[in-house]
Amino acid sequence: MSKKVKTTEYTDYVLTLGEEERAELDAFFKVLDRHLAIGREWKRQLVHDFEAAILWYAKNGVPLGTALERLSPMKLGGFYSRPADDWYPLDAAAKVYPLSMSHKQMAVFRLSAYLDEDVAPELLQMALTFTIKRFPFFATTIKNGVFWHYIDAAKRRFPVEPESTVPCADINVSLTGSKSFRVLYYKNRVSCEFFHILTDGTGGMIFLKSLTAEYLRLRGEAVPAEKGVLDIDGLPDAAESADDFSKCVSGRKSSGFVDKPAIQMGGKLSAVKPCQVIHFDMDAGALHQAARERGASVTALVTAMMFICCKAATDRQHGTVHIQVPVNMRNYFPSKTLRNFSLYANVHLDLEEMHSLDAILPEVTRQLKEGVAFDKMQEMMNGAVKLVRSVKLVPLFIKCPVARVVYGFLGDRAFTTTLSNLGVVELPQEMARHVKKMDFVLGTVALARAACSMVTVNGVATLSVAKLTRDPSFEERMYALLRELGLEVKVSGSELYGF
Amino acid sequence: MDFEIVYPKIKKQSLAMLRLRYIVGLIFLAASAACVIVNLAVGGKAWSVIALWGMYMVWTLVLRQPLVERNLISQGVRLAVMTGILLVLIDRLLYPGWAAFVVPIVSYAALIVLAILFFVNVSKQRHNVMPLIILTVLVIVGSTIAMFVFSETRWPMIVLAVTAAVLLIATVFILKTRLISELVKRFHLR
Repeated sequence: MSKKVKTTEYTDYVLTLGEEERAELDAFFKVLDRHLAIGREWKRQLVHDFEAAILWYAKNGVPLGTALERLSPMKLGGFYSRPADDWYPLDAAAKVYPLSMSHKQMAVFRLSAYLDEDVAPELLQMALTFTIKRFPFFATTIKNGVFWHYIDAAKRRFPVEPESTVPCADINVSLTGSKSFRVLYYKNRVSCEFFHILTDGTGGMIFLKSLTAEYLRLRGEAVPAEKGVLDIDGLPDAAESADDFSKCVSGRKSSGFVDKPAIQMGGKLSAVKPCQVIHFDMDAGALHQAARERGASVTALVTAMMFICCKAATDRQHGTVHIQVPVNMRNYFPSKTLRNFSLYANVHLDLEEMHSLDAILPEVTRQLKEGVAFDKMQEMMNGAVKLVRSVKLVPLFIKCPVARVVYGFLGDRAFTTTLSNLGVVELPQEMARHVKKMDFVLGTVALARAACSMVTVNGVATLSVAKLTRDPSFEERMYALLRELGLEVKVSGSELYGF
Repeated sequence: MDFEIVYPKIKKQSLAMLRLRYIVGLIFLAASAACVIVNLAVGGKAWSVIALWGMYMVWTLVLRQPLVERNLISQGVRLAVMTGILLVLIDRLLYPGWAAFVVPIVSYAALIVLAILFFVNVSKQRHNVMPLIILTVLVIVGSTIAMFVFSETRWPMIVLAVTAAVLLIATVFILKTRLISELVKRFHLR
C-alpha cells in the first residue's frame, strides 16, 4: 500500500516547478535545516513560515530565485541553532512591573506603523523571525528568582497575529517560554505591544523600525540601517541590553517618589481595559507653530490642554491634577540601551487655577522645565537605584504583595493622567516613503481614566488617548481645544469595548 | 467630532473568570468568617482551620493561579505541598495517628509523577526544574526530621528520603553545569 502524502497549496506549487527549481528549493531547505536546532514543533512551524512566504512570492509573481535570496536562512544567524542559555536581570525601572502586576493590571504599551499598503502576514512573520535575533533580550520569558524576577532566553517561534483583542491587552507571560511582546497586523498597520519589563518607548520604536525595515526589504525595498533602524544582521551590542540606571548613578542626593494624592477624573471605571483608544492626527508643523506662538514646547502645550480636559472630565471643584510626563534619560546620559531608561517629571495644578489654556501655559512650561532639569533627574535616578538596592535582600514572596499595595497607593493615586511624547521620529528616506504615520498607545493603569501619548512621523503628529471610562468629556474637550488652536484634526480610534 | 473606526471587531473579552473570582472570593470570605465564628462559639476541635486551608488551596490552585511560571511542575509542587499540609492539619486537629504513613505515600506519589514529567522532556522542562529541586530538598529535610519524631514508623520516611535523594542526584547528573547557572539566575541580586 502506498503511503498517503498530504497535499497542501505549497506541495501543489512545488509540483509545478521544473527540476532545476526543485533542486534549488531542496538545497535551500537543507541549509535551513542546519539553522534550526530547536524543538520539533517550533521547527515544523518555522519551516511552514518559510513555505508560506515562498508561496506568497510565487503568487505575487516574484521569481523563485529572488524569493529564496530574500529569505536566505543565513538571515537567521545562529539564533535558532544554539540553545537558550542567556538571561538578563531586570533594569531598575522594570523591576516594579512584575512586582505590581495583577490579574487585572499589566503595564503594556503599543507602537504602530501605518504602511502604504495592506500587510502581507507571511512576510511580516518572516521579518519578525529574522529581526528577533538582533534583539536577544526580547526573545525572553519572565521568571521568578529568589530575590528578583529576571528574563530568561526563550528560543521559539515568535508568531505575528491578526488583531483580535483590545489594544494593549494583557500578555500571558506565565507559561514556559511565554513571550513578553506581541506583533500584530490589521489592514495596513503593523503593531508591536510590549510588556514594559522589556523596554521603553524608545527601545520599542527601534524594534518597530527595524522590523518594518526588514518587512520592506522582504517586499523588495532595501532600507539602510540608519536613523534608529538597526542592521539586523549585525551582532547585538552588550550596551544595548545594559541597565544604564546603575551606571549613571552619581552623587549622594536622591529624591523620593512619594507625592500627594491627585484627584481622579470622574466616570465609572470600565471592566475592559482600555475601553477605547482614540487618535487625533494633526499637522505637526501647525502644532509646533501654535506652541511657538505661545512661547512653549509642544509637550508643554499638550500638557496644558490635558489639564483643561481633566477639569472638564470631573465634577470636583477643588483638588490638584497631577500629570506624569515620562522623560527619556538618553537625552541626559550617553546610552545605547534599548531597555528601560526613562523617568518622569510631575506637573501639577490646582483645579481652581485652571481658567484658560493661555493662563496656565506659562506655569506648565515652568514646572516642566524645572521637572526635567538634569539635577532633578539625577536625584530621581539616584533615588530609584537606592530603593532597588535597599530591598534587594528581601525575598520575592514578601516583595510582591508589599509592592502591589504600595504601588496601588503611591503609584496609581499619585497622578491623574500621563503624557508620554516620543517626539519626532526620523525614518530613513526609503522607509519614510512607505510609512504614512505611526501611533503610540499607553496601556491604562488602575485609576487614571485617560492615558495620553504622542508621536510625530512624516509631518503627522498623532496624539492617542487610551480610555478607562465611557465618559467622553476628556476627548471632546481635547478636540475642541485643538480646533481652537486652528488645527485640522482627524479623529480615529476603536469602538467602545465592554459596554 | 467625526470618528473613523480603525480597529477590527474584537473577540468578546471573557470577563467570566474575573467575575467568578470576585463572587467566589466573597463567598470564601463569608464562609471563612462563619467557620471561625461557629467553631469559636461551639468550641471543640479546631476544624475551622482545615476549612480555611481547604478554601485557600482552591483559591491559589484554581482561581488565582500564578502570573509568572505557571507550568505543570510548579503547579504540581504547589499541590503536593499544600496537600501535605492539609493532611498534617487533619491528623493534628481532627483524627490523629495516620499522617506518618499517609503523608509519605502522597509525597512519594507526587515525586514520581513530577519526576516523570521532568525526565520525559528534559530539554523543555529544564527551564522549570527549580520547583522540583525545592520539593526534593524539602522532602529530604522533612523526612529526616520526621524519622526522629515518629521513631516507630520510620520506614515510609526512609523510602521517601531515599527516593528524593536519588531524584536530586539524577537531576544534578543530567543538568550538570546548567543547574549551577540556573541557581545563579535564581539567586541573583542585581
